Amino acid sequence: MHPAIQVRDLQRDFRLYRKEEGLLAALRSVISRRWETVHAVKGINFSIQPGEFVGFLGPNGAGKTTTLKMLSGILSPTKGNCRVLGHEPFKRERAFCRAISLVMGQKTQLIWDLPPIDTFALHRDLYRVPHKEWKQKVDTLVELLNVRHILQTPVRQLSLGERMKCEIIVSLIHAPKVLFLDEPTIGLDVISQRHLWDFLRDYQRKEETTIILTSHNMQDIAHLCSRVLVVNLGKLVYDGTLDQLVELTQPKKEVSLQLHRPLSEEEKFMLDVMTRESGWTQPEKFCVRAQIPRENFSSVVREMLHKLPVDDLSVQEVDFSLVMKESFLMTPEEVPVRRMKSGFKKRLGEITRERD
Amino acid sequence: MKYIASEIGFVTKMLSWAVILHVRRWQRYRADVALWISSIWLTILAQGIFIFSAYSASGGNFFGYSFDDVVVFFAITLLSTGLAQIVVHGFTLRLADAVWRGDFDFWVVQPVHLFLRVLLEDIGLVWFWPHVIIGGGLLVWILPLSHVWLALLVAVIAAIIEIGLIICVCVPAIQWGRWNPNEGLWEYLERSRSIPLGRTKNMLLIVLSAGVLQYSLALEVFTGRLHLALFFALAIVIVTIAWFCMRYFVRKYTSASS
Repeated sequence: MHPAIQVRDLQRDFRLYRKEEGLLAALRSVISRRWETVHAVKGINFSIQPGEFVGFLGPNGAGKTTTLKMLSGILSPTKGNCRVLGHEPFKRERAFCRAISLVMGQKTQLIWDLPPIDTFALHRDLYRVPHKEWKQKVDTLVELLNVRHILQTPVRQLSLGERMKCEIIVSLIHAPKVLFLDEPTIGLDVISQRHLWDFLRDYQRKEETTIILTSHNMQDIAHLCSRVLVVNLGKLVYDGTLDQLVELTQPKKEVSLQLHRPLSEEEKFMLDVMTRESGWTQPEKFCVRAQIPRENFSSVVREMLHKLPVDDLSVQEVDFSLVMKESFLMTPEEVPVRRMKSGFKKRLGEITRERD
Repeated sequence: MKYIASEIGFVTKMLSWAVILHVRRWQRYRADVALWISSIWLTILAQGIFIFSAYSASGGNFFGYSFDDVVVFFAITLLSTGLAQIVVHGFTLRLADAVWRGDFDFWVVQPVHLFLRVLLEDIGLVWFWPHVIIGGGLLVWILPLSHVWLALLVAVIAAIIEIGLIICVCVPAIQWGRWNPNEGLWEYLERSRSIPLGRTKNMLLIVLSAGVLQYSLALEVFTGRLHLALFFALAIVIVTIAWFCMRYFVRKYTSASS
């Protein structure tokens, strides 16, 4: 099967001029300017199969939006190449434009002064969708996203959540094969986010659309994406599943044990052995918190329940903000090694080998 | 043949959308529209009075032109200005705005030619239709039918030249989303519209009349002093330059906002 998206050594530079301080510098800059080149994307390689839902993760300025813009044909690469559905995006061929769609959380393609239904109808003709097909599609999407009551309201009077739902509908009217989502949940409340997640997940499963999602919100990625690409400082530093990323960045799970009596010395020793020196603390007399390596989590928990006076046990949820923080440090070349924990570095090596 | 028919159908649909969306947008600023249209009518009336007074004061010989020529010039200028400004207003303002806000990102990846896409935005039809109605109406009213077509044709060509000139002049400003209709080169040229006739030996007036040169040339074609083919060729040259400017602009678009 041909990949839907193929990226080889993709690079993008921006040329910016430095603005110095003062009136004299401003006058001087009219005649001669000092330019500098910013390497926004520095040779990224990856490929995405049709029907994959891929999360594109990275801190501000990492190069994810620039990459997305190159993949959608808005920007031309400085070097390297990318192919989307067999097309070179920057040529912006009609067939390519009809096969993709773009949603940007901070921009709108809805007509501001008019109700969303006008933009839906305009897009029907822009993308040459037959009227019957359009009607059916809009009806379905409107029902799924529950926006029928706002179809006649001018866009400028809609809430952010309602507007984003309409943006999603506009982008899906022509049934794109590839959908680029750039921070679609930015500024949305939890309920709207959840509604959008459910919709996107169901839609992608049903239509098998290839979707690339960039987001700062790890929850977006966790709820939607089967695969994660992490970029930092213009380079791809991780390509794999979210589970692997969690394992990589949080190799231990924390459990809290409620005890019905204090631990004996022998039980404390057993706890040391079980947690393999990865650590446990006793914040209260009848409470223990232990860090357990993920690889033998279930066997250790079983052992704890069997050998310790446990009344209750709770496992801490994955802290996605920590996963994100750690993953943003994943730049094997540029980020100072001292910022990486030694265990983390070791696991990074192991997982890379496993993947290879 | 089927492909051509489908393309023509598509363009027609887009043009009809341009009109539909334009009218739909009026609903938002009804009071503004009413006020502006009244002021446009008053301006046209004032210009008409100025032309008539200038002609009367010159004793019936206005730089070698007859009364009919002057009225035809006035009508051609109104019609051309109206046609051109419809596009100019939408083109410069909306395009610059779209670049500035980043909406242009969507435009470049939509399967429609950029010129057509711009027309779907807020074109200046709402502001300048009185020019078109009065200019066109005057030509039909005062000229014999055999001359009306030539007058309409030169007016359209003059409008095309103006649109081309505007694109050439404004592209650098649009590229950075900085176009402001109240400043810049085109505003300077626009002021020259206060001088109704560009045909004079006065150097200053020649310079100032750059903005109405195309209308003077249109009159020359209408009165038989300039060949239509030459005028048409000039329009083609300017439109070609404008097309290259636009092409350069789209290729160099760097999507400034993220």
